[in-house]
Amino acid sequence: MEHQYFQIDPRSVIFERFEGEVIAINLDRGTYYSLNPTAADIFELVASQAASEHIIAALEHKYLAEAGKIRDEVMRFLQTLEAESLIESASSPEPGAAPVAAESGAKAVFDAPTLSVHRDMQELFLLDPVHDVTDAGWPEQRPAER
Amino acid sequence: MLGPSPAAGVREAGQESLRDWFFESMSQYCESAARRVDVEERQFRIGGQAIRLRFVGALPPATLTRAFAHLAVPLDAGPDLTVSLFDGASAAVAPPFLLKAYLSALAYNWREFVDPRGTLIHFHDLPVMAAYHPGSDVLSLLHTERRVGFYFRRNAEQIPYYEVASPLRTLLHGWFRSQGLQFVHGAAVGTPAAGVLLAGRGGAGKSTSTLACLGSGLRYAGDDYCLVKGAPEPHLHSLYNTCKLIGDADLRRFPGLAARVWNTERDAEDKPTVFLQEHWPEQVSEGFPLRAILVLRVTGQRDTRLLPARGMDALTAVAPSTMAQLPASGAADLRFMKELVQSIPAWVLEVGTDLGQIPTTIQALLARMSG
Repeated sequence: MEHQYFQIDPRSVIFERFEGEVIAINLDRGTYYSLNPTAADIFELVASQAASEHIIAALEHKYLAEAGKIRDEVMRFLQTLEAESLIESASSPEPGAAPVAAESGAKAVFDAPTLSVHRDMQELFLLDPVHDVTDAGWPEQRPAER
Repeated sequence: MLGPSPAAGVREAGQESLRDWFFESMSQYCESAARRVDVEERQFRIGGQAIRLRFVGALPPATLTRAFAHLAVPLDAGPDLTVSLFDGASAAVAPPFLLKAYLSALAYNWREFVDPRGTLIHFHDLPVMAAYHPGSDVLSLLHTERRVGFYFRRNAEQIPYYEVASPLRTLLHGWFRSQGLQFVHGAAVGTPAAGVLLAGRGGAGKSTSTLACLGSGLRYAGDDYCLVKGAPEPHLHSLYNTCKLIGDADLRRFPGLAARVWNTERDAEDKPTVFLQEHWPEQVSEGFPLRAILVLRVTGQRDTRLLPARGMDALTAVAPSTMAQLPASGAADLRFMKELVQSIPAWVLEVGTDLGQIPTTIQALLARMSG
């Protein structure tokens, strides 16, 4: 199967994993996001430039779910992340991309990945569009001093 | 010609020399003005550092330092950071030709020169932080290695109320980020021994809760932005002694404040603002050890109570609203706030209508934590 790669632009999107979840902020859009633990796993794997097939394999190794469910949910979630401009398609991984580490131990029950979108800060994040410019322009000088 | 704007954050060839040219040109412009107009210097102890504000020309020192009055110290020989505040109208000298062309272009077509959050696309490149805010018409320029900053407007007129209430946010955020201290959006009250950060977006009850603590024994360290030193022993430093009220509702709740509002003639969207240092200096704190983060929720119920909070709730309450109004904030800010939340406990403070319960609830928490 053809490998699909994605990447996160660190100039626009920042994130931190905390208590199993992820908080991500799209600085250019002024939107922030909460990702549940399954979504956080996927997001971190994207950040390590894992191919979509590798992400699916890593989650199938970690979680219990009916056949095909993890694949469907991962592909759906990658589309959701791309639609929110949190990730973007990449042709191939950057040199030095981290390999996907296999989780060991008992498998956990698979919860579908969820992305909570918060747009309540957009007006604050993005510049005030109101800008009064006088005819005098900038910078002005005291006429007597010219 | 500067040419078309690159995408935000895209580094152009020659950006380093462009950045250095801009900083040197602004520096020359300011020093040239300083030889021709009055210069007044004031110094403040902010975040444990000596910050000197050097007013060149007509920008009013008394107005732009009211929010820092509780942190004023005598001038000394070695400030950690010197910020020159000046304006084009009173500079009594023209800027260098190319700088004048750039500033004119920025004024008339700012969208071409700033990214969506306000950093100057061609010049914002560490160790230089460069940003422009069209609403306040403030150009902020900082060189962290040279410990020098510039705060520039076209003129000294019509300074917005928020620029007086919490001045130099962009510059001070950039400076203290380079020093390992973090701007945090939140209110703060406490005693010299211990205090709390009250977190929540605008309208979450930060100002009301803070004002409810006046006279209770809990002192005020801020109601909008504070400065925090992180783990292993988090400490909160006051930045501004300003209290911004939510219009007439807060004035009814705290009738003693009405006569002390600074901006009595204000636009409808401006918040009534009180400088607490001018009226209750004994209630204002320079800071305290930070023991907890309280995420505010207004319930409409009578009683105030504390509930356990998830760390993620605290991080979500603190981080996005902090970064929203600081154009140069980024991954390092988010990481700092995550580590802060990891280092101290968080609670939800459900704020009730019986305002007297707010300080007693906070005091009981601090007593429990110190015991």
